[in-house]
Amino acid sequence: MQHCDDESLAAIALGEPLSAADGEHAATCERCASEVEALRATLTRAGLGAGVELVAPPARVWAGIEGEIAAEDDAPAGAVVPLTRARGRRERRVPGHTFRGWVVGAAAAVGVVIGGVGVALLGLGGDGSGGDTVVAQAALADLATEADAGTARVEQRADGTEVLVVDTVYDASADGALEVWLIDPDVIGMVSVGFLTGDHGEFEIPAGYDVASFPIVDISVEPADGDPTHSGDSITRGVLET
Amino acid sequence: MSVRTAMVAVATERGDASDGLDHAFAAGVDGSLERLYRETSSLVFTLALRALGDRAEAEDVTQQTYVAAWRGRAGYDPERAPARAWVVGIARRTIADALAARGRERRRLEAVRDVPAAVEPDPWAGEAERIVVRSEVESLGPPRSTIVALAFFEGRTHEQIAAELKMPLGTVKSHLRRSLLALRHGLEAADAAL
Repeated sequence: MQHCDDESLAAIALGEPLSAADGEHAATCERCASEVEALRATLTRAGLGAGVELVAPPARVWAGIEGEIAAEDDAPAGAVVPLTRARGRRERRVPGHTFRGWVVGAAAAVGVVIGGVGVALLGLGGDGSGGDTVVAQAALADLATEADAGTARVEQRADGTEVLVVDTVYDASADGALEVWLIDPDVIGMVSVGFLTGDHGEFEIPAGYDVASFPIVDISVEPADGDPTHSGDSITRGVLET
Repeated sequence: MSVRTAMVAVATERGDASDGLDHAFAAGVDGSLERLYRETSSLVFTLALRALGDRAEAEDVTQQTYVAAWRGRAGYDPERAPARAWVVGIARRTIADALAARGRERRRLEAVRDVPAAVEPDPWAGEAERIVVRSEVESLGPPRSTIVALAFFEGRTHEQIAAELKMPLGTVKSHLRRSLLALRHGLEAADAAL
């Protein structure tokens, strides 16, 4: 037996079932009946808000808050969301509805990388081959485990083009293609540089994009759904440092 | 708050709206405290004002609440509760502290004067509930907050609301269904944070 969906339950609680079948089902189904009961309780409770006036505080209150916390904001932020939490968020994401949540999760994750892994692994790299100059490099971290996931570096070729070179552990078993992105520090702007097909990948950075403005290297799992935007399902990330 | 696409499931819609803020706040993202303040300060200030009955004290408590929320954000888990509910929890404790301090002061004075201490009823709990409910309704944003106020507070019929707001009857009903679901979601989160 199909249970009533939320809107059908709300309609019944409001006394206007969307269909006769809904009403009959809720009358006999314990689970749906208790949901309707809870919504009716909400309805009753909502009535308590009648006649209440909310009062906004005067502007000086916010000024006082800002003043009080301004001093401590000079210290580096230590309270970032753990990566494991960002991971949990992604697993519960709703398809097609993820971008905003991802941005914040990503911002938090970047905070962690900057604060920890990135600094610790600064000495890596510097093995640019073929005479290309390494202009930036990043330690990559697995977002689920925070484990070392290889390196990324930007090499400048003789003709001036910049190439993002990624060395990581390639896992073909992921449910989708692995796409490589460069993202800005606000985690708002981003550009795809291509798909990773093995442990080593080289991607020419499109003209107009530079690593100072887009320092975050991100590898995401992209389902073959024809949607060119970021899926929100990042698996690996690092921050390029020059 | 903007009117969102009606086809998005309400729980998700509501959850997502606060989720961005919740994670940003937990991560200490610039501007997240200001956003949280914008969304919740009327609720916090009204709670403080009604409980303490004194504007200056209510302003103090409001300021203390947000400073404490910001300083304590490492202890906030966005997976467990919306930041909105969390900050209200802090406000309630700050208000309780202010009331307790006042009680101590009064008892000290009364001891000096040798007056028996008055037994204080708690009219405050019911009032706080009414304020929280009102704030949840306001946070639905227009047009839902208006429709809900007309329907649930003033007892208007759906037809009257449709006529007054020049809105199709079906739209009014749909807004009410979604509002009811959002209110349940919001009030449960508010309860969980107490």
